Amino acid sequence: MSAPERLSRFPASRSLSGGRKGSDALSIVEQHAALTQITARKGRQSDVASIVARALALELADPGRATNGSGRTAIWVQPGSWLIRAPGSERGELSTSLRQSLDGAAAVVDQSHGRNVIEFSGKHAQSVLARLCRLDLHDRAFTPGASASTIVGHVSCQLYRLESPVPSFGLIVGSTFAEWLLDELQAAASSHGWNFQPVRNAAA
Amino acid sequence: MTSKRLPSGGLIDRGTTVRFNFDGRSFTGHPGDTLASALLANGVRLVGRSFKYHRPRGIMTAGPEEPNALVELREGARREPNTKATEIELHDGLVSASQNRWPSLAFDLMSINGFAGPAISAGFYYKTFMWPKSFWEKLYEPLIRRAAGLGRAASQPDPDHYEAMHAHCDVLVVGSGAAGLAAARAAGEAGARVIICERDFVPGGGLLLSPADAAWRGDMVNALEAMPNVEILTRTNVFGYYDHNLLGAVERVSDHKAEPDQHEVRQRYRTFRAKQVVLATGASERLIAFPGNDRPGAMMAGAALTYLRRFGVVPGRNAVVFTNNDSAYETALALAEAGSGKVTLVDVRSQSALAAAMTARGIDVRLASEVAYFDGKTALVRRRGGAGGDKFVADLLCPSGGWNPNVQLASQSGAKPRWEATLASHVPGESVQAERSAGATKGIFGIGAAAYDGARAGREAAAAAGFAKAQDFALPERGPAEQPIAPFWEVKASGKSFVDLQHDVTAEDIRLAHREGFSHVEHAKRYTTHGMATDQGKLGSLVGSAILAEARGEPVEAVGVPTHRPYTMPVAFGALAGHASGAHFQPVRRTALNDWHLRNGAVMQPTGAWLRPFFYPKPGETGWEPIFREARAVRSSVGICDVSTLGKIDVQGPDAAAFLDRLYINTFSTLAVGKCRYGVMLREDGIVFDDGTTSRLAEDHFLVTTTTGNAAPVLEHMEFHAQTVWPELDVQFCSVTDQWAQVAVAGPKSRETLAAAVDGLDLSNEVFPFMGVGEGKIAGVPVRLFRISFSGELAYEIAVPSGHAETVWEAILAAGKPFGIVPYGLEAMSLMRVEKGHAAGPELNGQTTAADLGMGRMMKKSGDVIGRVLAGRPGLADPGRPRLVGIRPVDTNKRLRGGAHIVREPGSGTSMGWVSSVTQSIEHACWIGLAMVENGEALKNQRVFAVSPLHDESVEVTITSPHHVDPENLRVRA
Amino acid sequence: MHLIPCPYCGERPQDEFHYRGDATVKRPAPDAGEQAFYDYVYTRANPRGWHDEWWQHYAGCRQWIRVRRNTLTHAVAASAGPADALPEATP
Repeated sequence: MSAPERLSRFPASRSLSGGRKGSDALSIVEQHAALTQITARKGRQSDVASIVARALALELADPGRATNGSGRTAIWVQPGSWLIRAPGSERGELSTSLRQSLDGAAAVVDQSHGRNVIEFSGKHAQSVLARLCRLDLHDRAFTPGASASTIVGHVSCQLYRLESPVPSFGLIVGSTFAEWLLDELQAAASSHGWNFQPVRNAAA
Repeated sequence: MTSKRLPSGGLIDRGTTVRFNFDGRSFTGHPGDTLASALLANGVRLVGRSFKYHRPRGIMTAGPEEPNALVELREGARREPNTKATEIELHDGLVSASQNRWPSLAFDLMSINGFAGPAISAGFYYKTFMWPKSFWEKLYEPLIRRAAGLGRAASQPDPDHYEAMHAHCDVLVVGSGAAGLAAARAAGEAGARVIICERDFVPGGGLLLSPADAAWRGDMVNALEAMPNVEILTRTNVFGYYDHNLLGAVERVSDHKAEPDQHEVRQRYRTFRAKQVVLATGASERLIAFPGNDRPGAMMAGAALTYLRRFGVVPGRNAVVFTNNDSAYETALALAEAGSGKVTLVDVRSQSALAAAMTARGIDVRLASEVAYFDGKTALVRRRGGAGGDKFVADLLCPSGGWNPNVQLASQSGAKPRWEATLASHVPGESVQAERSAGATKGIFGIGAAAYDGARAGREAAAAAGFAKAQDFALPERGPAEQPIAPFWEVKASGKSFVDLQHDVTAEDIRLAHREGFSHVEHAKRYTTHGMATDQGKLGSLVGSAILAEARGEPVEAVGVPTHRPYTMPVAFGALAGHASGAHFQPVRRTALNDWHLRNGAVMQPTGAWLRPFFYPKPGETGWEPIFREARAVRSSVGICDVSTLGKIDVQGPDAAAFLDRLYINTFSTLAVGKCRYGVMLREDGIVFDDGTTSRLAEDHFLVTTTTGNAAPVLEHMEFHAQTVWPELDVQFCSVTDQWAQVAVAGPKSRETLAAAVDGLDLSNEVFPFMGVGEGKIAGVPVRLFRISFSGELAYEIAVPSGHAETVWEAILAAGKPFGIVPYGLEAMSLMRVEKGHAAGPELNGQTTAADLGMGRMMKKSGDVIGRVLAGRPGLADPGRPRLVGIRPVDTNKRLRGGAHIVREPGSGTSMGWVSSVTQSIEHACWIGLAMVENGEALKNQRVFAVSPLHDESVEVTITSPHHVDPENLRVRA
Repeated sequence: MHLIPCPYCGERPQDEFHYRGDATVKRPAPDAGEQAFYDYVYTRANPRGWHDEWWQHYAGCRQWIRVRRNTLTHAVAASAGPADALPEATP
């Protein structure tokens, strides 16, 4: 029997929009992702990097960076520790396979349900985030691939810049704060307008 | 009423007329006006009453230094008091009212205070109204409020929205006069990211008063607007300069409209983190103290020039300009050009090379002279220090005591102001942070000279920020040097000579402060309130210092001015709060089951950041009824509770067990895989920090749980010790609080309920005993099961990946249906934990030791444990300390109260301890409690009193075991 | 508001950090006795000027970093990771 998993963290399982009407509206899209945190055992960082490179064809990122490979992203979170983001279809199996390949070299913890991934984009994405975050997200200062653990809307978030023609950011937030963060993003974006797209629940 | 508006000139749009209202009367003005310029254009001379003496006052300045023209702006919920008419941008439909007058502006009963002047000199608050005490509330206070009150704040909630915004730049330029524009241009051309802030609604500062430089100003603004790396923020006042080059500002986004547009904020609180700062905030003209210098018609010379040149308004008919420096000559010329009446120029200096040119324009020049008196209609002009003099008909009197560079922000940044004798004022001292001043802020006056200095500052700032490219651009001509200023502060003549108009502080008050021993400038400020009004002493602070210096027999520079602190100008609370008010005040955390709770009628309760179900009332239930019903269901059958808020920390690594052994007073290295154990953690000072159960999932893998409130502090505590104290330990851990939703299933029927729901785990007591940990599936979802109990009943907790929480919760509800399973909330849980005698927040209060809580024997015999050594201090190890006990009232109808003191006899002044937690018990059908009582164990079964003097209550109680329910702990093992 | 230079994340605003205080005190050996632990927990120099302090970058990399900060001017001279030493002296 397979479990009817609740995929969206938000009560509304439909798209919403708000704020000023117009073409400058910000896009807020919830992502269905598999997330696994890996933390190297003492002195095993380079082993971990080579194992992950072999297993996932993914280079582990340097501090303050996020790297992409084979449809997955490795986000540096703290010395010796990374968050691996993969498509939602890999939930469960990503952690299981990493746990096997990294056995003895790293602690592997599934965070797929512990964090919520939101992608935030639009012409005014930086000035909207400047209402919620004290980091310098200017094109010169925070280029695609840059990543930071920081405070967004008063809560801890992993924030990283995506490769995209319009300014786009990934936001990874503790899932119990997800509704709060969505409220903050929508309020901050209301002077430009916003469109929200949740992950569609299978049942919905 | 005749119009005072010139037919041409200025920066107003004469083609458009806007209507506004002041004190119930309708007026018209033009876009580009301020409320002050429009009132002057309409011939309104009287705009307010002074704070203490209720003297009539008129518009004195054209900027933020305005002491008199404070008005209530807008009406109803949007009414804002103490706004400056000189700063309010005129718009159609603007409604404003004068304040501090009663019953009306023209007829003010309180002006009697002026005749009683000597009774309310400086310090009068401290000396009068002291006795009798009861008079204060009933008489003095209301009277003073009415007499000295400023405007009225709105009494309804503010309907408008505010927000904060954080910007970064290479070069922040504060001020957009000649120096600021040139600095921004130079830095922008170099390629730096530049933000330029202008308080006013048009950029230009002093350039706006110089028609000759209008074209250059336009070119500069156009050039800056065309640069993608430059942002110009108008209506943005920088109010503070803080550590590490952080500056704060308020942008008045829609204050120039009756209401903000939809989705628009009223004001935006801005912070700037700048690599380099250029302060081009200009200079403020200072007052001269002379009798009547506050009368309607008194207007600073620079302000008069502003009204003439920028707004095309003639502020008076017959004018006397009173100066000690060259700048006011331009005002005299502009007044003469406007051509309405007689213009007299009074200069304290005995010679002036400019006098002949003035005379040629018909201006009456009086050198070596002073104004000894002004009453709004006539001015008395005499030889300096002489007697007698000539009376002039004058409805306008324009003093200029010289110009003070606006050093406030530089001073806040740490640069101590330096006295500059040639200006008789302070200039910014040596920079401490990455900032430099430019133009008039630095004492460099004249548009050409300021622009040149600004360009230099902008280039230097850009270079210091790493942008060295220099690109020349046109600058205005530098003018001839001015004649030296003659420092001049006060005309000694009889009558009230004001140094602070808004707070009604006179020159005599300053001398009084000195005579009474308040001779330090900071003391004199506080004694007289000089410089403490909303204008922050911009007009007269230095004048007061000069008068104090004379009284002290010292030079002005030895006295100085009071320290400049934020805010440079008043800032609304709403702006500082930004978006963080109401529902957005602080983050809210929702468990994965939040929506289920809401759909099923839970009353939600904020606990810390979390929203938790308080209880789930059924229709008709009131008071304690739902709580009793839920708790009874658990005690008699089965209940289910969302306990997801518990902190959960995943701990792994070869040294994980050794690490936990040092964190907890008990041992985890001996814990078998598949078991959990209750643990207590101390702070290093020996006091209990936190408690919770820890499970061993594998040899090198543990799951620690913390109390809800301590989840973050415990993680930080673990990180501190792993990273800095024992870096040799190979241990990895992270929070998994949000990964796992957790539900408690409690009650005698919990096993049967779960047996029907769980696959893959035998729940029999033999296979899965108390403190067992296992894995299974519920509704196909892999879950972790823990046989632990907070209620004291047979109970389990089930951890489920949070996305599956509702599925699992519903499956358990379905399985428990035959047993009448109910969801229970925080209140029923608290009731049952007090019954069971589990210590929680009120007992783990940062003052109790493990022994105090009856857990002293948990401390292992040997090994390094945080808190072990200091817990052994005599004071903490004293067996007589308050110990955790239970209490029950002898008269079972009496209620108990948390916080009550435990005493031997009613009326005893000696407390033996306190009541920490109380509840109504379902097992005992009376109130029960937990208490911390000295020698508590020895007092078991004895009677004492729980007294609450606040409620005038004294309840006789029996001391019991803290375990009001199942003290043998049989139920949890059933 | 201070900018704290995190050795891993770069300069970050103070509100991403929690302050713990004196980073020069060392936890004594478990058998060092009550006075040693008393000093470790309570005895502080309260210097005017340079001070080595623990700050945790809790909203960032979660590292407890050492920060040399001037208590008088709020200037920050150096920072180091939890297991790394700060430079010997600051002029």
